[in-house]
Amino acid sequence: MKKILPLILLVIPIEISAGGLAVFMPSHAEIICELGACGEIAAVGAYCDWPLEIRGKQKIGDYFRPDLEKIYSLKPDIVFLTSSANSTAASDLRKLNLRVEELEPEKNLKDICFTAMRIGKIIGRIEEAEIFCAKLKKDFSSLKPKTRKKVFFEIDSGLWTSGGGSFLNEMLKKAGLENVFSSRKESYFKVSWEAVLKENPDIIISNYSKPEYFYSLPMSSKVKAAAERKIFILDKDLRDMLVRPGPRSPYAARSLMELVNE
Amino acid sequence: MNKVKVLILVSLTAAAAYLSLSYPHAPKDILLNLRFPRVLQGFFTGFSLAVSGAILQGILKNPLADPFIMGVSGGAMLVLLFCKVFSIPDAYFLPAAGGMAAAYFSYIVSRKFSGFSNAGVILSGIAVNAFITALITIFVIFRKDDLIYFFHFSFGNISGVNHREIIYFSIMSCLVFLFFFLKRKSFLAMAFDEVKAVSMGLNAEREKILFFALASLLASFSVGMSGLVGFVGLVGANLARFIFPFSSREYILSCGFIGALLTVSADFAGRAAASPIEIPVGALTAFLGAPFFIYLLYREGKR
Repeated sequence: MKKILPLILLVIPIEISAGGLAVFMPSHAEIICELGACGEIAAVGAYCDWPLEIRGKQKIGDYFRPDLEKIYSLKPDIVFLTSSANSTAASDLRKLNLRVEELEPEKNLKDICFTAMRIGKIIGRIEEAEIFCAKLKKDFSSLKPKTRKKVFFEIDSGLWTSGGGSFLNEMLKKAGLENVFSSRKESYFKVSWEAVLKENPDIIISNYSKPEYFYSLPMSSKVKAAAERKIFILDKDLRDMLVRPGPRSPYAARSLMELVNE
Repeated sequence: MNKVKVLILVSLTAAAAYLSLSYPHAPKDILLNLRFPRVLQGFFTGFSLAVSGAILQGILKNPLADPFIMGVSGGAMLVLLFCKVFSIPDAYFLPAAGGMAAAYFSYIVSRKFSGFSNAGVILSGIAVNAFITALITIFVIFRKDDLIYFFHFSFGNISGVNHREIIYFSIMSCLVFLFFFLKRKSFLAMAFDEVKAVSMGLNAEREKILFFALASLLASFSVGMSGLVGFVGLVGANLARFIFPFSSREYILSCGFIGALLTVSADFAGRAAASPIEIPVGALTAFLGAPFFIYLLYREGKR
């Protein structure tokens, strides 16, 4: 028995390495593909939908409810995740003896590059990551909004919005928009319509509520955004792009800028 | 003496409403268009919930009875969610139908299996509530983009911006409350001594069903207006018993005012504590209500 056991232990690891990368976050998938490693991705999280070539890949649930059985059966070499106290995915996957790489969530635009460099190091594409960073910097610096306007951004219906400590806040800034609630550092909270009225934003942008909803609220005519018909609802593409720190971020900021200045 | 107590309660509620209206200072049009509807919404949400709780506790003779615990609020909520999924607009009467349906279902179950015993109704209500909560969670998971609003709504939402809904539900709550107030004699008879009530010529089961329906309607109106605001029904009705004897005329009215006081204060606290961030009213009613409730239990234990 003592002789057989080490033998078994030797044989098992050889058998199980099917390989590839498993990526939960849409932003990480976008960065990995941008670094030219799309082909190495074996499986993606439920919300990964860009670039188009990853849509056909195996789905492994989402970050809060990972499909552990499927991931285990795919035996990826590396699993990419965002580190967060909100999810036990990383520790669960480590218990399955998988290599898990946790990346810090991005707080500002520079962090995109930081994440890309880390991914580049892990998958052996540092040069590509450096090129990507340089391009990203150039793209962002080419954005020169002419005006600074105050914006109220509704993330979820019911006037849920975001404060100054968020990635979204930075994206808004790049698009020439100043979040009216940026003095709060919390990244997700609800405000009252009264508070929005008091801030009197020039522009209102919502992920889900139609402009008609805002026009129907009491005293909406007192808000500059309503008086000047500057209330917008985002389509799914732009909505996703805005909150994914990745290669499309400069494009998202530009699209937003064009939308509100049309 | 009772009159003085009622007066104190009413003036406390008025003080909370005044505070909520006037802090922080705002121009007149904001007071009129936003704060006043908001106070009104808080008032009727709390009032209906507490009266609903009092009715349920009375006829079921159990201090645990509460529209929230018994699935009535959940039933109304589930219907609101269906309306959203199938985009049925402005369906004001539907949440009431949902709340009634949930209550009716617990009634059928308890009648079939426990002979409509009081404890049986509460137990089956708890089962109905668990089932509905599970359904809501499943819905929200699969339709997150459409229903995240409902997830938030399940902590209560008093915003004062849906004027038409506030007016509609406030009037409906008033009407149902008035109807109940006219019937209060048979309610007290039922709550005190069912045997005597029957000897007075009341059909005990029919009366029970009627009051059950009224309680469900009141709770559903509050859900239709403000989502799930927990704990108010439980606290309002139990607290009132400490101030007034159950048999007194003032009992029901004081339940309503305690509920309104709790909800209006919780809404004010939620708005003012971390402004401009709003803390959901449902979290604060429980936060303010629970310690008080425990204190009451402690005092009751000492007696």
